[in-house]
Amino acid sequence: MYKNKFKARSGFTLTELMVSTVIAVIVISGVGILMVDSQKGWNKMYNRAYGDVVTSSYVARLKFDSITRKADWEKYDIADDGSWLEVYYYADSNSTEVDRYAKFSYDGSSELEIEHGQLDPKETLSTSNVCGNVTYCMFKTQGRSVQMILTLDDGTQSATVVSSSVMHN
Amino acid sequence: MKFGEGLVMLTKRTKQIKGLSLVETMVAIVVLSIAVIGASGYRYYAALDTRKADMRMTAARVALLLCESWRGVKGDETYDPIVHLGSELLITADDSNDVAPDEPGDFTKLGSYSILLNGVQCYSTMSWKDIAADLRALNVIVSWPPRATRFESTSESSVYPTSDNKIFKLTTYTEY
Repeated sequence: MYKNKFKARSGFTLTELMVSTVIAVIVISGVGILMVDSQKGWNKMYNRAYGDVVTSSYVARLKFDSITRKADWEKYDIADDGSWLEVYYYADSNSTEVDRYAKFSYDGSSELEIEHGQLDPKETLSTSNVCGNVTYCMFKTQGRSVQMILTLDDGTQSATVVSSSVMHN
Repeated sequence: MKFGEGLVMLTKRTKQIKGLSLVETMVAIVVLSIAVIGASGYRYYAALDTRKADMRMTAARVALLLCESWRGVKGDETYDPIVHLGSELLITADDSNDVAPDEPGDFTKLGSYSILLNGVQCYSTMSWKDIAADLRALNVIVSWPPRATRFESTSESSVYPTSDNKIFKLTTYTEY
C-alpha cells in the first residue's frame, strides 16, 4: 500500500514545473535577444563595409583616379563653381595627339555622370552614370593635380570620399 | 508491515529524487559563461576591427589627398591645404605640437593640420626636403587615434595620447 502511494508521487510538482518554465523562458529570451542583436550588429557592419553608399563611393573614386591619372596635365577645363571637370587623354598608344575627353559632371540632382568623347571634331561617344545618391560633389584643381570631394547619402548612411590625382601625361 | 519497512521506503524515495549537484551546476555555469563570453568577444572584435579598417581607409585617403594635391604644385612651400580644401573639408591648422606627428628629422615643416572626415579625426604633418638640384621630397604623415569614437564635428573630438596613434607616412618626389 505504501509502495503504491510513493510510486504515484513520482513526477514533477507544480512548483518545479513553474520554476523550470520561468528559467527556460529567461534562457530562451536571453539567447533570442543575443541572436537578434548579433544579426543587427552584423548588418550594421556589413553595410559599413559593403553598403550601397560605400561601394558607390569606391566606384566613383576608382573611375576618377583611373581616368585623371592618365590625363594630359597641360590642358583641362573646370567649371567656375566646381560642378564639372573635363580632362583630356590619349585614346591608346597609337595616338599621336590628345584625342579623347572625359567630362565628370554633377548637375545638382543625385547622379554623378561621366561623358567620354572624341576631339576634333568634338563628339560624344558615351555617357554613363558613375553613382547615385550624391548630395555634394566638388571638383578642384591644384597645379597638375585634380581633386574630387564627393558626399553620398542614401538616407540611412552617409560617406564622403576624397580623391586627388596628379595628371601624368 | 515489519518494523522499519517504512523507513526503507522513505530512503528509497529520497534516492529516487535525482537532481543536479552543486558541482554539476557550477560546471554548467562555467561552460555557459565561456560560450557567452566567447560570443561577446567575437562580436566586440568584429565591430572594433571594422571601425579600425574604416579609420585606416579614411586616413589613407586623407594622406593621398594631401600628398597628391601638394605634388600637383610641385611641392611649393606656399601650398596651404586649408585655403585649397578648407571649404569642403573640416581642416584646421594644428600647431600645438601635442597631437600632430613630428616631421622627419631633416625635413622642413610646411604645417600641421587637423582633419575630420567621415567621423574620423586625423592629424597630419606635411614637410619637404630638397634632396638634389630640382628634386624635392615631399613627406606627408597622417596619424589617427585608433580608440577614438566617431565624431560629427571638430568640437566633439578629444585629444588622445599620441603614443597610441596609428601612423601613415607617405613620401613622394617631384621636380620643382
